[in-house]
Amino acid sequence: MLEEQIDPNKPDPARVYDWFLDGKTSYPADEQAGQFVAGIWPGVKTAARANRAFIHRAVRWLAKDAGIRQFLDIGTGIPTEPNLHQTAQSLAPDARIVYTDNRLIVLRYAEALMTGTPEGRTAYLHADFFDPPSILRSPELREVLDFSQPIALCLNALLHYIADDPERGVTAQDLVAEYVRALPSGSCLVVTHVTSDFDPPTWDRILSGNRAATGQMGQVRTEPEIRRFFDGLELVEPGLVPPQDWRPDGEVPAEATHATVSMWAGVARKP
Amino acid sequence: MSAGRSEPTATQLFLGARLRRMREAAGRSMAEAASALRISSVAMRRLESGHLMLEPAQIAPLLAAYGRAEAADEIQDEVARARCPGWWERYREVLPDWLADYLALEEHAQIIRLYAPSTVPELLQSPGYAKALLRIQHPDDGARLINRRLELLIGRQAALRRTAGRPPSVWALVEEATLRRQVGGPAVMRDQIEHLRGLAAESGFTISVMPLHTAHAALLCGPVQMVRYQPADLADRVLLRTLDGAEVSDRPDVVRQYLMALDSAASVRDSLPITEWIANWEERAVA
Repeated sequence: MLEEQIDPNKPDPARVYDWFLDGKTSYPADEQAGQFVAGIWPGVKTAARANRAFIHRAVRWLAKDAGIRQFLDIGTGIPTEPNLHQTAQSLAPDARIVYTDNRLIVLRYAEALMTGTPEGRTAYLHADFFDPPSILRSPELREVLDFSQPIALCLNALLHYIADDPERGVTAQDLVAEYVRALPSGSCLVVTHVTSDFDPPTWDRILSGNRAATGQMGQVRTEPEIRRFFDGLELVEPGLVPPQDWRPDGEVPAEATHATVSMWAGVARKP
Repeated sequence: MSAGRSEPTATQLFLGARLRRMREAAGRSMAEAASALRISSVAMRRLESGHLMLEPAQIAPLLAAYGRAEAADEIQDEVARARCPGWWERYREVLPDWLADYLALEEHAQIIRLYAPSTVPELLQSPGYAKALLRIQHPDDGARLINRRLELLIGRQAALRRTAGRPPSVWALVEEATLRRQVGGPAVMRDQIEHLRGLAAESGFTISVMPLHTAHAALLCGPVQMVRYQPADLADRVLLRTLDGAEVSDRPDVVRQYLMALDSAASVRDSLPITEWIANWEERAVA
């Protein structure tokens, strides 16, 4: 599902997410979709901020405490400062980052607006999560990432856009496993994912609504389903928790309750 | 009170936004801040929107109310900067008012997006190209005035490589037609294209060519310059050139239309980095 052309009348998940973050790269269709979601899930902007704050803490932990120097970010989205490579390279200037997204425009933004350190490397790949070889075997990716050294695979707020397709025999879990298989021992997997676990009535309303109108197609999963993404890996402390509870480095904002944020987040190491 | 201007200058705008963020971080209401300065809430609002300039005597009581006394020197510097004229003021004889206001905004930009349908954007022009275009634009100007205009332009380009703070990312989409049009003749054009390639090799500059065989929504606009600032609460602005000047807009509906047009051009499948673009005429000129 590689997308090259923009349809300005259709909400785009990356731009809708930018609207959730109060960014300025959204179209009228995206704002409309964002407002529609916020009408049902008033905490969505809080959730987006909690997700971003988690990513920064997780990347800092990976760079500083886990010694990770290579990052593969799939489903990068519209650049928002600080971007992943800025966080990683502020602690490890030699960090190498490959960003991938299936929307060409997102990659064009990334190429133009994300400049890394001279010591490190950043690369941008137009590729589809549904097609692991297109990412894992890409010469551009192999030029930047060394698969004999640990890599952090970051799937932030991505997997809930990936619906399981039993007819074609493709599940999000199989896809994640295929990526993880390619990584060497000592690599890490970072996942954040929305869930209906904490606030079932709100999620019933979201799931029964017109999801095409929101640009938020995919699959909402429960804690056991999300935990399965980490099969064969060792979750690092504190395990699979709401993003605001993962190694908080200050006070958790009062509005970021489990129900409001409605997400699970975790970091795991490949033995 | 220096409230003479109807529109805030860029430095006032940035100072105001900074004061607003400090107040919010301190958890103070507009009324509380206003009472610390013994001014009305309306005046406080105008301070934060950049319409009213902070007086030096107001710095200490305001920062005390925010528990940020240590930031006094920094704010003092910013107030002083907001009051001192920009480097461009000495080019008044060749500087139209719309450009004077805009230059301050451009200097603060964190992202500058350009769309160039017919001529190379001023920020990316080589001196020879700029001179040739200035002669067309100002046929009655003598050599001295043309040189003054050129100096102003070069000053504007230099401001983009500022060392105080991070320089902006410049992202330009240039139509192939722009590169084929021989402003100033083949030698000037060769030099201009080399200049673009040199810029593209610098960190922070991205220059793409939209080949003639492609079509996208931006073709329906004229030249566009769009600026974005680092404080997230300041709106994007578009600068739209007209024959006798330019129109600057920060209206969200207008800005969004141009955002969509620029994105449409940016996602053209066959666009090329300037370093990979080769014109036939250029090959012929070499041969």
